[in-house]
Amino acid sequence: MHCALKIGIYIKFQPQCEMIDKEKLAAAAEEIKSYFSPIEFDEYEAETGIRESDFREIVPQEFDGQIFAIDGSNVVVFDLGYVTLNHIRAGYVVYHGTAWQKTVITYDNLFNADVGDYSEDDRGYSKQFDHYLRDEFNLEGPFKIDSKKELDRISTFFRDLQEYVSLYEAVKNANVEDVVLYDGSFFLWRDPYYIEVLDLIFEEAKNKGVDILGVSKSSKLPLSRRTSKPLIRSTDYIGSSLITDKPWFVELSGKKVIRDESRRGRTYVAKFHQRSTHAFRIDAPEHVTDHIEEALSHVSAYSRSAESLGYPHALFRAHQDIMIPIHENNFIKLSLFESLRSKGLTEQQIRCALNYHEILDALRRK
Amino acid sequence: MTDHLNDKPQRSANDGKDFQIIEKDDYSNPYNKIISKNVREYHFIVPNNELVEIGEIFFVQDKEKNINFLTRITDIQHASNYDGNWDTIIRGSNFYDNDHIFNRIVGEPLGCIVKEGDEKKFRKSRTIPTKFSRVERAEKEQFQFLVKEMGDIEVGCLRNGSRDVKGIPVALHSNAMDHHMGVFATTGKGKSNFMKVFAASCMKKAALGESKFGLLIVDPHGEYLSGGDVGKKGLLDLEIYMSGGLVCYSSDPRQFKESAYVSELVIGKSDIKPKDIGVLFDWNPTQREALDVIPRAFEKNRNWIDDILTLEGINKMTGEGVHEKTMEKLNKNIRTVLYKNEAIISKDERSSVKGIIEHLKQGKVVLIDIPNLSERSELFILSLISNRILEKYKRNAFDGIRSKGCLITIEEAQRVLGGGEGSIVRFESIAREGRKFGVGLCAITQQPKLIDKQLLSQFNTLVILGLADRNDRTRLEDSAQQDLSSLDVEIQTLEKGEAIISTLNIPFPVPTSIHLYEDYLKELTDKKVDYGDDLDDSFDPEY
Repeated sequence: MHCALKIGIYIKFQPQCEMIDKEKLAAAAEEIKSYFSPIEFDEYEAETGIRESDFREIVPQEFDGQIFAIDGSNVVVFDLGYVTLNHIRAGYVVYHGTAWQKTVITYDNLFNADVGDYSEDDRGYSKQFDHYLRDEFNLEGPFKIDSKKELDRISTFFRDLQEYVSLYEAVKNANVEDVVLYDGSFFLWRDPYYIEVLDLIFEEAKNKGVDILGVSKSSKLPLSRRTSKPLIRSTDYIGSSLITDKPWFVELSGKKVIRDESRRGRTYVAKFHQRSTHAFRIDAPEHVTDHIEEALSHVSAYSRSAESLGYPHALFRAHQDIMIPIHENNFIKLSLFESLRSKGLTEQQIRCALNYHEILDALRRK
Repeated sequence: MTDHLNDKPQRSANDGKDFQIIEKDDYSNPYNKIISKNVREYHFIVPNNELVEIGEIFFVQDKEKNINFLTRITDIQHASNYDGNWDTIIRGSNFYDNDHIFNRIVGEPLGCIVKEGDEKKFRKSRTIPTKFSRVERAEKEQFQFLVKEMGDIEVGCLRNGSRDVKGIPVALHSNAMDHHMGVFATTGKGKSNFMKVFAASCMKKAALGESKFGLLIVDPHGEYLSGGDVGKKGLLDLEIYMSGGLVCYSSDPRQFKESAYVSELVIGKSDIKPKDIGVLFDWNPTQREALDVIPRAFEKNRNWIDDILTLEGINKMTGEGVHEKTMEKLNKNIRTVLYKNEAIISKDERSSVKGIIEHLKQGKVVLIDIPNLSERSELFILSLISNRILEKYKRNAFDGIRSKGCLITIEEAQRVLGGGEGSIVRFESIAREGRKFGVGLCAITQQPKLIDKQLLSQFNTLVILGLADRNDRTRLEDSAQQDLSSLDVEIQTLEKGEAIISTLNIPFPVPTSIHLYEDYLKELTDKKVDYGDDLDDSFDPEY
């Protein structure tokens, strides 16, 4: 069966069963529709405090500097339930104009997400973090998570750390007026683990005169506390109806929607190309905010690739070059099994050690 | 795995840290490395803006197996690292990552070069290059082995794509010439130029006393002797090899009266045999039988062609059972031949035929220039001389007399070697028997599809100068001794003067840039040759 949607997504699927209640599907569709339904400007202004005059045009401006883009990837290689072995990769790409220069992989290794029993004496995970905090950022550990329930995210924290190592390396290798783009946000993230790390990175960027921006592909920010409508999506709708044929941006910081002033920078929404399907949340450190228009105009000039129209192409390439494809993950998995066999484990023992999800996946009928 | 994949050092982006850096360098780029596919087909990629041409030959350096392979490009494809229909749904035309869009190059294996002692030898390859073996455009050094494989009749230089590989001459083997040769090209692709270059090389061999065969060229257009058009040179311009290399007979010798090497073409009536008349007309079976009766009725009569026209002659024929009506037709055609060829048929006993055959036996180039004669006269002369040559070579073979071989050139060969009514009969004895007695045919045609398929399969040397018609190419591919099927596109796209030469003793069909005759002439003339006493400067047209 084929299903074609007007927006151009073409889905081919075979129905698994006829059991799904059509009424429930219709109700879900209605809910999603209201979530994405266009918002009137008056309502938008009332909820966010953002006025029409706050939306400003971006004039794309090519420049002679380099663009750095940082990304990371994290996949589970082996899941034993209480401990997982992850493959983590982080790095950055460098562009000069539209020409790719190089891709630098700063970390590409296995991470043992073993948190022990979370006692003061058994924080094996800390050592893996402390090594990088000390060597890369000259910060003393130990790295310590706040609560036991965050143990599940330990590999995510490690990937974040490796992305910051990449970001720091990129900033150190950048020159004045270069742009460094980070795939993610900087400020509203509530976890307290890397405040010092980010401070160091921003300080380095400021000293070198490098523009650093966080570009978020997804954001959970709501329009207001009273509505679940997505802030970025709604802002995109309003902005694109106000400025129809140009890239644009609007500042969120200081408005009702983000009342708390960050001591480190400000947050924006930007649409880098008028025909792009998406606008993105942009976080800029303090030293960039005074010339944010120029920084965004540089990014916009290099967001015109046919492959990722409206998204900074360097970030697109970073995602392509740094992500860990499934076949590579499978290869590492097989290599690990081979290593286990060479250490005397039988096929049966390895099978028993696997999470049963993986066994079910392997037994999949199609 | 080949070393170049593993020998990239981990390099530092900063402070000596071990980061993996992928950039535009020899270590990181994926280009010019064998990536697939099997023993019949090699694939590698090149940047999408790099010029690679169909027919180019690349060199695959397999350090793991210590073998060097040669591969000829048969296809060039657009390719990328992206899946699906990404390129037809992209918005806008700005494409940043050209390193992910490339051309996939498909090559056929030609063979491999292996070292045997101090020598490098060419072998057919029975294995596949190791994955990621480096691929480079083959240069003179890699083709050096071909020099030893080449023959002695130079016609051009090796061509790699559109580039000439200077220093690697392409030369045909003299000893392959009695296995017949075909020169195929559409108009304007350089057939005449090729023949002049070929003849010049033959003249050089003959003048130096090194030739192994004589070359007969019947030139109905007057383009070989003096060059024809303004600015074009002819064989008469190759003065240093005229003496001992070339003899010319012209039906209009007055225009060459200043040249000592051109004499009048004359055919003695006694040279003419009934089968020479036979090729010129379409005969019904009864008339053909009457032709066969002539040798019996006029046994040992060298003057049969005059006698058959007399009442006594007619009576002789009717006495052998030939009907009067048939005789009328026969004699009408004989009178036509005598009348139309009045200019070259001597009224006395003079004849050029004996001299022509003797010069051919000496290995010289014999040019018969007949610009003022009709197509039927051309066929008459060609048939007559060819038959006399074959008879002489047969006789010599029976008598145990060894002489140099002979190559007979036939322009517009489809007229006499085609599969049509009667046409194949005209030259079939030479085509089928000639090889045994050292007589080969050089068929020149624009339409190989009209040449009899069985005959074509006996042509062991093919010089293909560009054929636009698919049926022509298919006929050659079906008949060639070497596999030409993968060269279809290349043959279709050959430029003027470019050729594919498939011949015995040279291991694969060779892309060739045929010398421009005027340049080759200069090259030959500029070379100072010490002839010593070997040159034969005597010329007796009747020998």
